[in-house]
Amino acid sequence: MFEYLTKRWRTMPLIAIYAVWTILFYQLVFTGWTIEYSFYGVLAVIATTLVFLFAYPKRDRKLLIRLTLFILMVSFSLASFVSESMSWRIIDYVVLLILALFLGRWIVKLSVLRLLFIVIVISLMQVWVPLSDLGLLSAFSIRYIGHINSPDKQVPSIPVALVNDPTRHGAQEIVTLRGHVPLKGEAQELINMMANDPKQAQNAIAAVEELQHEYDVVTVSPGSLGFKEHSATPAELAQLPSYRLGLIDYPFTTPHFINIGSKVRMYVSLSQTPGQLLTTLLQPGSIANALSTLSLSTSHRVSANWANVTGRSSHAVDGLSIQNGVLVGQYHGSAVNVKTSGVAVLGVYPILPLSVTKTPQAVVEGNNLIQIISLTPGDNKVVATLRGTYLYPLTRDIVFADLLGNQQDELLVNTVPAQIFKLSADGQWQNLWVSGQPSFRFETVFHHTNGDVIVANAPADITTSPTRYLGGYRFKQGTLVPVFRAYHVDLVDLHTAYVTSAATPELLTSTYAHQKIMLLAPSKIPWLLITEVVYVVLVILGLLRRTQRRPIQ
Amino acid sequence: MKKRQLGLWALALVGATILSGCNLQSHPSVLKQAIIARKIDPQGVQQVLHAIAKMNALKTYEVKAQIQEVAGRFSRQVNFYGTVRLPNAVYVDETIGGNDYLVYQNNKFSYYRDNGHWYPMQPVTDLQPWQSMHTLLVNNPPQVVYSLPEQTVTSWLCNVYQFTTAAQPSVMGTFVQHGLKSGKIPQQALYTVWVDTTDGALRQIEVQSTVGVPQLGTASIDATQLYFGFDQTAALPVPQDLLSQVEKP
Repeated sequence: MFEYLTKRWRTMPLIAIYAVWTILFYQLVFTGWTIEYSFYGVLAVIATTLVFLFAYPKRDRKLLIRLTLFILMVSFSLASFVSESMSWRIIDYVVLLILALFLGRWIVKLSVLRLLFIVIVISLMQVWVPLSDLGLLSAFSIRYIGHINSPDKQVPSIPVALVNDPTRHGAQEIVTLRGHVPLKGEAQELINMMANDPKQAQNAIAAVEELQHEYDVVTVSPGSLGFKEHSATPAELAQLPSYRLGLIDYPFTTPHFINIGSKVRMYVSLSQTPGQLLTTLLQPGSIANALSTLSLSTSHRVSANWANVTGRSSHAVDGLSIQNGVLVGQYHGSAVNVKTSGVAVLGVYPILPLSVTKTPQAVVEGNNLIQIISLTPGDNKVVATLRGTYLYPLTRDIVFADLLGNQQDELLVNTVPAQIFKLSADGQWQNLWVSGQPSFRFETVFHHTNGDVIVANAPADITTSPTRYLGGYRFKQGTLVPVFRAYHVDLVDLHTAYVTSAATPELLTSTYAHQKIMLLAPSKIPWLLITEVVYVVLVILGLLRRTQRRPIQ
Repeated sequence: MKKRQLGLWALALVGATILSGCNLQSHPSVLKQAIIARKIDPQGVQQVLHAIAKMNALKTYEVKAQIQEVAGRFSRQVNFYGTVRLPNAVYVDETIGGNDYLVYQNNKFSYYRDNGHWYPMQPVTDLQPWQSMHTLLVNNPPQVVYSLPEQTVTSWLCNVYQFTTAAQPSVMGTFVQHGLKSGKIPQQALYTVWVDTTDGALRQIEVQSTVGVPQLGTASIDATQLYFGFDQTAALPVPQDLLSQVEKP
């Protein structure tokens, strides 16, 4: 059958579909099984492969094996040089093409033109989705990939943030950093600026000194032809608190934002020299205090710098801020004034059950504690406090989610192990769930009326490895029930976003150590299911072939 | 034949159910394990002070450390690894973020290397880390010291002591005040100390604490230092590239 299909141009589209299916099946099904179920997954892969091969009669099997291996080999080869420079990619592609055609002629025994057709199909597939990101297709489609080209090793992942798009109501723009590529004559312009513009002189000096290590602060939003990028304006950046883009290696390095004309740039410097840091770190008896002081001073510097560059003067979140240990501000027209141990406002969320109050509460965080503050007019007070311990500290790494669909938010706290807390009507905290895997972490949620879907980075089911992969879960009867799994590692700083439309939630993420950001949308096409169904169809076709007495000529 | 087919279908169904993913159960017992395992040890402070006293006789040692701070949604760390020859020589490789630095010091000849170039720096002082622990324990003795089950660190079987006390030694009974009043400087930290069961030497110290940072919230700190290679280094020669750079006209 395969011989018949591969020898006619009219049936070559079927071979192209087979090539796409082979790569998808390998990446979505086989890779998923081996990652999630270790040796059991490998056994499943072997069994599935044997069923597939032996479904076909002997006369088809030889070509089937050779063609399948050829397709996989070409796809892996193409992926191996995708991160190289454009010139090297072209050279490597030509070399690969020659080798693939030679090997194809020798092993698969198809004509050069037909082999070329297959290689082009596989190449186009990798333009559509790079092989390294193909695992995401089981749950997402990739809307945007942005390569950052960081000039600094100190930046392990590029921060991403979201701001309201001034031109599209309800939609958002992505704010991120891009490694600055110095332009010809740029240094001269900056030197002229230093001499002629006293207001810009200080910024120009910094910009020249750090020209090789700077980042442009940019905004990415959908355009008529794909996504467009422009320099972020101070007005856009003023929507963000300083820590959204300013936590690069905090507190060991300090980011500096500078205005150059209408553009904003950033560079990073060490908060202390290696010698100073070594002196600090070699004193275990005082290290906690020394690092705390460093954290506070770095944060203070970044915050002042951010206010200077963006003009953001208020630290209010949802109209509330903390001043000298008091939560102050306005909530729905009522003045709020409550003494608190908090230092940061996390937001206003319905933490108490609706049966207690319909007014949501302010959530503030202090040193290793979270306080829930009632905003009911005339009854502002701390209603509950959740305290961390040194072994399980409560950092700001918290996701708020209505897991049960009862319009009450639970706290998804990324301690190690991760935990879920719910506040009961009497102000007591209930621990709903504790992860059995230390590396499991909550990232964000997709809101849903029947209960939010948790997006998490979770290790595989059967493994001792801490490596995490993207997963979606619903909280049901005290357990997290998987909704989807997408086998992609190194996704960090995940946010629920509304970038391409104000109605459909998307997932914005940065990648650790890979200097790229991605915007993902829940996939409308069930690629995983389609791939599995095609497998079954192909097996049935093979079994039918067994019933045929003679091959089709 | 029918039975066999039914069996195959049942097997396929079970396989498909397993492969579609398992629910993640709650494991509340994980949180209690560390607490249940520890016992109050009235002699704990003395044991730690005894281990510190043993370290005072050292002439050289090696140190490996990791300092991690979690703030916002990020965890960042500094690592260092190297040799100290008391009283004032240092050869340490330091990693801050993804960047490597080399620190070399011999008395007041003190340099660090960044991206292949050496820069002069203020000499690193107080090269006996255990002294800061000694001062802390003398000035701010913990009220309770716990003993944890024995643990093997690298290849050394150790007694483990854990206590909470001040985040830095008090000076004349008071803490140094910081100008950053809006933040919440920690008053206390959790210390875990590993003492070698064979020779009573100090092997490892872990310090855990938190700080409340305005606007940002809690930042947690976890610093671990391992001491080894006692009195095994004869000399710390000056790196050749530092010599070349200094000697260049």
